[in-house]
Amino acid sequence: MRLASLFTLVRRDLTRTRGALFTSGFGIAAGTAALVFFLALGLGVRGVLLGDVFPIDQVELEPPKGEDPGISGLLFGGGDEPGISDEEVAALKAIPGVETVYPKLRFAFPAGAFGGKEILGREVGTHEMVGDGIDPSLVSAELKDAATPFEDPLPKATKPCKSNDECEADDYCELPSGQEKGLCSAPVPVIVSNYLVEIFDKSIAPAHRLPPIGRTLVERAQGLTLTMRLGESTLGKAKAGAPRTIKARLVGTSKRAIDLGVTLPIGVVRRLNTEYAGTSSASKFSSVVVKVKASGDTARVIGVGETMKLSPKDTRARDVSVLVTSVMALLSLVAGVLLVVSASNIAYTFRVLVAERRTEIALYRAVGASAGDMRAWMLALAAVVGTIGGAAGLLVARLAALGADRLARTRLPDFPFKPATFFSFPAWLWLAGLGFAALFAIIGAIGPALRAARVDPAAALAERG
Amino acid sequence: MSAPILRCEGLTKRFRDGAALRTPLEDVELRVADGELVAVLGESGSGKSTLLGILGGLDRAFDGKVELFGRDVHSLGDRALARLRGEKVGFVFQAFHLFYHLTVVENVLCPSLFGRRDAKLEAKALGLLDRLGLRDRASDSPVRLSGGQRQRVAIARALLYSPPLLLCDEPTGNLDKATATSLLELFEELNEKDGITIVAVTHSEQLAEIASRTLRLEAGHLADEGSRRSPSKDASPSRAAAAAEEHP
Repeated sequence: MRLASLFTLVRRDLTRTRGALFTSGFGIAAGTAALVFFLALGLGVRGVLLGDVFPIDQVELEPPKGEDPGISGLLFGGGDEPGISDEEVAALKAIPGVETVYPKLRFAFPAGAFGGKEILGREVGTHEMVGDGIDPSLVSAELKDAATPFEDPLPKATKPCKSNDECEADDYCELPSGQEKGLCSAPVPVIVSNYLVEIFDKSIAPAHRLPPIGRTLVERAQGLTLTMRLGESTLGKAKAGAPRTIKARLVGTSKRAIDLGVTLPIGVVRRLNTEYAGTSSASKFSSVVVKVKASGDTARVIGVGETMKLSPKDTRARDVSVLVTSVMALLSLVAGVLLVVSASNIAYTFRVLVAERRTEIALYRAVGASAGDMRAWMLALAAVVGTIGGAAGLLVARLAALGADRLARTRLPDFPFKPATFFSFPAWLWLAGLGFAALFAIIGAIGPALRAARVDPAAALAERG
Repeated sequence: MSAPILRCEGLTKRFRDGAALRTPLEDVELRVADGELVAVLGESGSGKSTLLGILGGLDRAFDGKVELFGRDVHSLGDRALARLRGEKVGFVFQAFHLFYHLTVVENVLCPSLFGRRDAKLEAKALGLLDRLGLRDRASDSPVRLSGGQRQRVAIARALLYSPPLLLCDEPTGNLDKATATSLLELFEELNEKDGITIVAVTHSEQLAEIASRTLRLEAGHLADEGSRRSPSKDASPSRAAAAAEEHP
């Protein structure tokens, strides 16, 4: 049968049997709406959790903690601090599926930092601050709009100095411990994590009556400078070097910055670790961020890392991924049950339809239709009913999502990483929604379609009308 | 006699009706030549409609051999048989079997949904309606037509692809005498002027009068009663009317 003929038959059916077909399509619409709504919710929540809170396209591996040094260690000093060597970094880079590896170097000295008066109205900070250094290229994409580049400023410094007074207003005198002359340097660029900004805005700022700071403001901040105290903190002084103060500038936020602390270019941390904790603290990395090409490669990287006695620093991403996937699967199962019920509804409607149209089917057979044509007719009708029902379901799902987002905006209190929308509707989800709707309708109509093909035309036409 | 366009050899049809095994057709032999108008007479329930369904390739559950236009219906696939039926066989039924949600012309065009493409089919459908006196009713619903008009619509539908064979199942069964007479005149005209072979199963003696050959189906067996008239072109155009007077 030609496609145009099939279209004509289906169009006529949609007009003359609209009541029964509407009822069938309603079930499909409800099932599709539930399926797409839950999947979009799952994808949206998963996107926020895995994209912003716990990125899953990377895994951070760290060496095992140092062994317990025992009494002798307390008396005579501990053994070597564990770390990751350049050879191990190269081995990780060679794993299939690894895009790149970014070493991290943690502060090996005490430090504190204060600042923020330009934005917050008063200085805030901490006397005990942790930090680390990362390869600037790791965050280059995220910081492409930053006003100040995230790179070690010292190579560009040329003007000798002995104190900050000899440098430009914004600059400071980079004068390492034990040296008589330094160089006037631009403030050291630092970045903080999105997580820290969220925690500050949603928890710390309200507690201290400080205004929240938006991410855009931070990323474009020109004047948010920090004063960092190196070599000493509340808990004590570094074993080497003399405490001193440097200037730093907050240049942006990044998912790859340390959660609670500040992140500097790795070159700066290497210099400072050498100054305050010796060369051994600068030669081995405290952890590595392994960026994978696809999230499925993460497991392989973790496996190879384990053979090198490296373990994932944070398994929350995997845990969250499993949790979100499980919840999505459960909700999709519920929606799937709805679709199965809809399919049985379609089956019933079409069975009645075929019974009512026995003579009509027989007449079509008499004027040249094959059994296959009758099958195709019923299945095409079901597919169209399913697709129309599915389209209605998609519309309902989208409207419900908009309503839910509106409710969340107006009724839910602010919380860290509260997204603008809890839903994600990628193109494939629309197509999948329509596809499932049509598929389930077709599945429901298979039995009646076979029945239509089996109608005995001679017997049906011999019945006197 | 020209080559048969319909041929049955040893045609036997059995089916189970509850515990009983019924045999409405047994060892039926039949040859229908091109241009014949054959009337198959028989009482109600004698198996006439069963025979017609088999002859038209609508029912293939039988023993024996049936050839339609020289092709064994058992050897044809469902699609090939459907195509043969659609293009070479027209059906007319007692109950008309029209679609009341469609217009008259849409009913006539119904076979075109499954048959070959032809841009002139719509014009042909209107021409057929014109010939059958229904041109001005083309856009009406068949609900608004009389029984005779409905049967004419069904005949127009059967003639859409100009089939050489028309199979009619009690075509005048639901019509009053006058309407039946005019319809029989139409069958005569189709047979004699258009050369369409017609096989009609009926219990109407009136139809038998205009047939070139009459067969009687009794107890599953088909007996030839001979010709009540010859299929010549010089037959009286008012034979149907004469038959109507003979069999009131």
